[in-house]
Amino acid sequence: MNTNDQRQLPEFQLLHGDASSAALVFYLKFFFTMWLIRYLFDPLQTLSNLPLEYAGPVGPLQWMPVAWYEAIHSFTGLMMLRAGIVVCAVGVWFGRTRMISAMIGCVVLTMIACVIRGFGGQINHAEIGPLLVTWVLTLFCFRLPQDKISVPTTQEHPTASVALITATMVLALVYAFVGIARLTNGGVELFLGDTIQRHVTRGSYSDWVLPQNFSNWVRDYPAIAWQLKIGTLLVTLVEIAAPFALISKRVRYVVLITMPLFHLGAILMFKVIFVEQMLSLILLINVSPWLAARARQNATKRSQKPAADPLVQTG
Amino acid sequence: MILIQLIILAALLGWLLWTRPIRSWICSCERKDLLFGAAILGALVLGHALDFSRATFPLVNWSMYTEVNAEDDFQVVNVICHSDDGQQKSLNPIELYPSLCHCFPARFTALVKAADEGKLTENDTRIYDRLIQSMSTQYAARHGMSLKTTRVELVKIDSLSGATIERKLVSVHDARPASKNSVVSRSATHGNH
Repeated sequence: MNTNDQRQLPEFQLLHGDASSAALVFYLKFFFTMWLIRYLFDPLQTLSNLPLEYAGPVGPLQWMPVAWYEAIHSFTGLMMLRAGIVVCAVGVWFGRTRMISAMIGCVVLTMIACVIRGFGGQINHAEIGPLLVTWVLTLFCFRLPQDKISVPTTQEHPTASVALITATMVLALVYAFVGIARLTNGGVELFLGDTIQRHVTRGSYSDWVLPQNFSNWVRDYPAIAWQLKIGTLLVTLVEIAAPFALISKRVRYVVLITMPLFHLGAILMFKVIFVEQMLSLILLINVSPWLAARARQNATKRSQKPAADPLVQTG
Repeated sequence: MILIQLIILAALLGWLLWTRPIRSWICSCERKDLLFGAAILGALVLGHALDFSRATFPLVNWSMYTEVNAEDDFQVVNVICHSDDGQQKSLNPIELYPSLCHCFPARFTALVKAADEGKLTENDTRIYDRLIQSMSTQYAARHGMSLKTTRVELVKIDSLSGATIERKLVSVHDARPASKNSVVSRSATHGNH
């Protein structure tokens, strides 16, 4: 979408305002490929070796009949969930099977997330934001004409724009929730006190997850401890400002630089692995112009003459 | 506190909605699409505000690393396997169940702490014993070892210095696959509370 306001103030260009069905399908493929890679290598079925009583039902699994609940937690059930997401993720790459694969894939992903959370204490971690984004993209696919999803075009589409802006807002709101909660719950004490050092020490002893131990550095070099405190404050401010990445290029660049660094730092220092969340930041990159340019290029190659019409199907 | 969070969030979103790019974009979109998107975002906010994450999952409360940590110490669990040939190996549950790398340690540590303090019910004790037995069997199969016993220790660590304050044996389990009653011994504190 090109409004006069945007032409006058290029800094304040709405992200995904010019989104097309091709862009929506691009992100859908991206997220499902991410899940495909994750669950190809994640031996989910090993959870069937744990006592079922150790798991507590979470989310939709609470309303499931006991026999179904037990079946899902069996070796066969977990293998089927794993195979299901792999098949659905592959299905999303093909026009004819895209919508049904995405829908079933979202249900399977939610079941997997429920099973994993059932065995653990931490419920709001790593892949829940990207799971919600995948749901948003999938649900909006059903609001577009089916031919636009099976054979997407690079033509601007307002529904695709709403879909991608909603998905980006989900991601941005997740950051904003954490940032606001950190300010209101922790206050100034969280940034001035020893909280961060304590988290690093605690994280360093979580050698079940990763082996490195940086607690000595933080303890022996006060400058590093202070950098972490200032870094946490900066990250908190960026998290709160994240929704403004929708309208401001500068905020978008700041989020795109700061948050991956923060997630990498969290992996090293706290051993908190947020790979899926980090990859989801791709939503802050507008792929629509790139897809349109590529479609024009392909059309030029096919027709052997300069392309005049950018509204070309991308397949 | 959640009310303050919601007020700040409302102010942020109000500011965002008031900007020209968003206002002109809203005018160019179909109302049904906008309502659908708003309903999704509303559900996300509601999930955070209600804070019944296990019930409303995957619409959860997002507070993480948001509290001041003033604890002087914290506890970690060591699971140590003893093989028939005298070897002693540290069992890493995340190696056995990589899917649980985010959530297993916190819950497992809480369970072992409760076992140490004698706060487990009879049913919880059975689950705890089966869990250790299951992990031992998995570990033995994975590493081709024949295990004799599995020891569960609770280690108290100073939050700032990282020094070990106390190392306490919580339970010892018979790790042989054929054993019916897996528990060999429990810590002295068990049952005293």
